[in-house]
Amino acid sequence: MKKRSKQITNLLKLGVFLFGVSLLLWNCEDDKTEGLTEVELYKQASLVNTKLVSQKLGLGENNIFIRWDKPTILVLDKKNQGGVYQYDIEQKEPVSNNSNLFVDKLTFKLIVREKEGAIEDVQIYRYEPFKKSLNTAPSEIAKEGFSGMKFIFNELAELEDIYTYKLGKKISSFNETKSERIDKYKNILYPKMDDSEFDSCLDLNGKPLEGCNSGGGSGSGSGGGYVTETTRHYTDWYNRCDSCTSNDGKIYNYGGVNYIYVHTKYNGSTTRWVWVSSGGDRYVDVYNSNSPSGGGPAYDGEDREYSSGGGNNGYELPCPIGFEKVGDNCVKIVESYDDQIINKLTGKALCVFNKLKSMSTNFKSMIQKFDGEFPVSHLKFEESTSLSSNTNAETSPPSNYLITITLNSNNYNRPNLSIARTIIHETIHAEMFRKILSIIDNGGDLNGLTRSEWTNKLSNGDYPGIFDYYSRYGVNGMQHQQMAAHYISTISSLLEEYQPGLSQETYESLAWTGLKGTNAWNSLTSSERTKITNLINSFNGQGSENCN
Amino acid sequence: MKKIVYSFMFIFLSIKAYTQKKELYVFIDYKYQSLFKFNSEVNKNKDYYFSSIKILKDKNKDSGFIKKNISKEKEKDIIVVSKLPVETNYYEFQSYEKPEEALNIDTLKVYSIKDISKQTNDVKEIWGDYRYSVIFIEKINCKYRLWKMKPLYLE
Repeated sequence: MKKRSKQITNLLKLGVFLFGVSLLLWNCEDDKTEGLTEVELYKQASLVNTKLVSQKLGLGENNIFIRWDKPTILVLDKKNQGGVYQYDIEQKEPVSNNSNLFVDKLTFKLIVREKEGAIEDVQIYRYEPFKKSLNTAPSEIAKEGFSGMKFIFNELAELEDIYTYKLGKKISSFNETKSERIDKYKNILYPKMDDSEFDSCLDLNGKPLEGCNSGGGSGSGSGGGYVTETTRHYTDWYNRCDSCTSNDGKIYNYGGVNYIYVHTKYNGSTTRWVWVSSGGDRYVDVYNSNSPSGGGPAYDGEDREYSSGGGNNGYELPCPIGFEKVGDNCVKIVESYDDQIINKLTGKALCVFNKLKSMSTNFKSMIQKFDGEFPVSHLKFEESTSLSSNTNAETSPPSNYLITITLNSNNYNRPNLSIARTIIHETIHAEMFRKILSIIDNGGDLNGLTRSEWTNKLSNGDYPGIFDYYSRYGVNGMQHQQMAAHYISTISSLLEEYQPGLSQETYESLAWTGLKGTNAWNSLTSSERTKITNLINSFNGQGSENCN
Repeated sequence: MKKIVYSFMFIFLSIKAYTQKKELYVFIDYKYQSLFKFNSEVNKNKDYYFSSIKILKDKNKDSGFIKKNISKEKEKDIIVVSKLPVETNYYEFQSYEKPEEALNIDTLKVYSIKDISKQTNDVKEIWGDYRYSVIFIEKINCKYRLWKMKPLYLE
């Protein structure tokens, strides 16, 4: 009996022990997913557009999936109902990195940060281990021995920063130490240095990073450095002239025609990582940050050229800005006017125009519709002293795909905002002409068509508003009517962008200039008309001002 | 003390002269009635005042306010698209301010409607400088109404 009692006691002890072990195991299992209910997983999953991310990371069309079923808890903050979770991002069809410096298979992780039950931040990490890295499959919980780069993107796969690691330790952050700013949308990091050349293989103290400096390329086996190279893209503008003088006194001859330099337009920059071999071989290696598909010596060829030669990929010295390579020579680039906005403004008008373009993104977008390779129409700005004295500016209908805005340079004795308003007003005319031309489709101009042809085309066009105003006021009377009825707030917000700080009433009143006598104007009450006119007169009474 | 007073007077007169320079008086003389169209609206109860004057440009003085030339294209019903703004054959001035009244204008330097029409040298400078006002003088019985108008610019 005593023996049996002892057996039962032992069984009970074993049972308690096994229960304890199972509880422990259950708890361990729970550690991985604690704080993540199905609802929360769904909430996190809905944050990431895998199709977009796949494409932007250069992994192809819808080529990734996120292992939502396997979260790794990096931090658990029960007190604040928060935590940091890591998920594997896997590729359906593995894409090779095709790099001389980095391993072929890159590792992607998704990091989700939660706080107080809400998702605070989502980031995507792309680990690019150097080929000599001891750890070629790093993650946030396994960085030991990792040497290489960690690219950090937001949930839209827009680049936020690049970290460099040496043997598991972060030694530099591009954003903290090297970058002036980040263009998230274009995935470009702008280095602080003008010459844009720094060696990312050096740590913050300037010491070489081992895994980086011992790389080789194209069979050379020599050492070298891994540098970013930023190419700044410019377009030089020239005016054709037969007998004129330029500011710099230089006249460029191209194809028997004389040109003078007018100005240079900055078009932005692209940044890439380039391996430069210390053994004399230099080649473009892997990564064009403006084109995340990366791989290979793809190059946009705007103002530098790369070419191959012999067994090594060569790096030719680039031409200076504004020149292009023709054979062994650098030849001055002459822009064609055909696909650009032609700006012949000078002095005060040019200053106001440039300021308007830089201050107002909406104005910039307006005129960009006339830019590019195949716009419906091109746009030209010019000045004249022979316009009627009561005309501030005029806009010519399209002729051979060109709409011309002419400003009366005798009428600049007024505030700059007023001149900006005239430019805006005329640009809206140009935009209306451009829309009409797109519907009429008459070989670049609007003349020669009968009334019934106009009616027929406009009634079938994409702009019912234009057809409506054309029907009511005719082709030469419609634009001011439409502008007064529908563009006052547009003009007023463009004016505010140009010169913030004035009252809303002032911007709206100024917008009415040139539109008096329209139906929309006449439908205002007499006191509104009086108030607007007095505000305009009072503003213009400030007189002329300099533009710098 | 006298010097200070004279200095202030000089500054005051200079400022006055400068501001006066930005005003120009034009008499609405009906002997030139073929050259202009004037209308005014005075509603003292509503405190609403408005006046407008259109003056034919000299080159259009014979054709008058109505354009009569019909092009051949128009006859064929072909639409001719104009530059914008469509050029007018007149200059226009408007006022939304209450006019001042005067019994005598003998001391003022007054220009004529014809001067505006012809754009004589003296009146040319009203254009382009937005500070300028043209004060049109309307004769009503034994007094004068002075309408402070601003040029209307086309765009």
